[in-house]
Amino acid sequence: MQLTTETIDQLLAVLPEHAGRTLDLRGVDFVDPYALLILALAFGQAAREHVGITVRWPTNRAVQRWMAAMGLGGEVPSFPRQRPASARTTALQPITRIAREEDVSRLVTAFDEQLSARYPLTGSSRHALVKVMLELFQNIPQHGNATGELADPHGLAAMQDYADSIFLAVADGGIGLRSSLSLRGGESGLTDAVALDRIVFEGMSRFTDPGRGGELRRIAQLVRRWDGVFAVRSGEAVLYMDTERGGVYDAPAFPGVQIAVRLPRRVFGIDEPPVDSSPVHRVQ
Amino acid sequence: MNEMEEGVFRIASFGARVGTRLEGEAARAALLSALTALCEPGRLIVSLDGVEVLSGSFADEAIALPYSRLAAEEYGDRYLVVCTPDLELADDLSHKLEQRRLAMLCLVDEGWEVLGPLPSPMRETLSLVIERGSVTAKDLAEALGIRHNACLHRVGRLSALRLIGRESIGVAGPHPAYRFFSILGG
Repeated sequence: MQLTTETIDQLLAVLPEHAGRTLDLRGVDFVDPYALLILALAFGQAAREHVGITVRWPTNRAVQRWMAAMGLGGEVPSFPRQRPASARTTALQPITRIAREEDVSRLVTAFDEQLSARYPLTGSSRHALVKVMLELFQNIPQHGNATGELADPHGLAAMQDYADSIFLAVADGGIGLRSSLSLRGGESGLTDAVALDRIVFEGMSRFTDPGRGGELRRIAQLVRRWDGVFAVRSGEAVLYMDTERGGVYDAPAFPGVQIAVRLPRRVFGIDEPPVDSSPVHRVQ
Repeated sequence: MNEMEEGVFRIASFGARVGTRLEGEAARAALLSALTALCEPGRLIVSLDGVEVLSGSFADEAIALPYSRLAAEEYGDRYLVVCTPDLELADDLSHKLEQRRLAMLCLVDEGWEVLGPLPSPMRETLSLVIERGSVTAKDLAEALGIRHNACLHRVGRLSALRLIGRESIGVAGPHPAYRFFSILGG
């Protein structure tokens, strides 16, 4: 069983049934960063709300080590602690909290340095990825709690490299796109799917200022041009695009906005193995 | 036309990779302060030298938003021009200008380009004004081979977009007459 951008909704669909029961993830042999962040948000929220879900974590040692090195234990107290030696994994950029806009540029620089420490990257694609991170990271403090209703508004980001791609995931448990857009006059009463469509394809935002919005549309265009994968999930809808398909689909309810950006390594000029696979360091 | 006072505003003073809307707000305040410090007519060159990344959000707050106020005639006879070592660097700014239905002159590779949308007849007219430095609508219409009214429409729009300047030179019949000039100087 794999927990990925394409499969995590199957887990979210059955999660409410497991309140007070045991969720068995022992057979999971792969987790991508998008699914990891959703696990962190879902189980972190369940712990805060004292919803008793007992999780049987993956028994696959490589998956355990990777999840630990990516910092899942920092977000989900029930995740088992690993022995220090097991911190040596292929993890690239562990889960990082994003709460204040003042911290965004520093966090983006840290992500970029983590990637460029592992690979000699070419300029323009690296700068494009920096722009993507700047926009996605700042969306969390800008929009995730636009109604002011959350006590601890924050988001998470993580990044991982694979044989064929670089994978960036950004997620929050905030008010979501529909609630955000409803703050704009005339845009209340929308479904999650329509709100996603308006924001990603039409470039709308909660502001009427014509300079606001359009960033997710630009990122979607970039990912499409680079033959990557782009997913934006909010509420009960998910927009999914890859080289073969693209559209907005129904999804089980989940708060906030979760985004996956998977880009082929070739756009970064990476055709060599990593230059450094030393243990990773958490961004402070 | 009076000589323009010129100033240079360096975006790199806010970092090589910019940035967030919050950072853009700080840059905007500094840019507007530099702009209003210029005597009229004045030209502020917004330099992207030393900048590696210019995000759309920062570009909108720091450059496109003040430019929209300039186009709304909030800052008198003053102008903003971008100068970039690489046109790709200004790509997100161009998109933000497009969202705001604005166009802006950009110095690049010892020439100029327009960021944001500008229809080709308008660009042709702009090019001729820049080439001549200063020209009346009558001379411009002759050079372009178009009717005087059509020419007035074009230069009126270019002037409203702050892509060219204009100065009154008296009256011609029932209407005031203007001379139109390049904001790029000699």
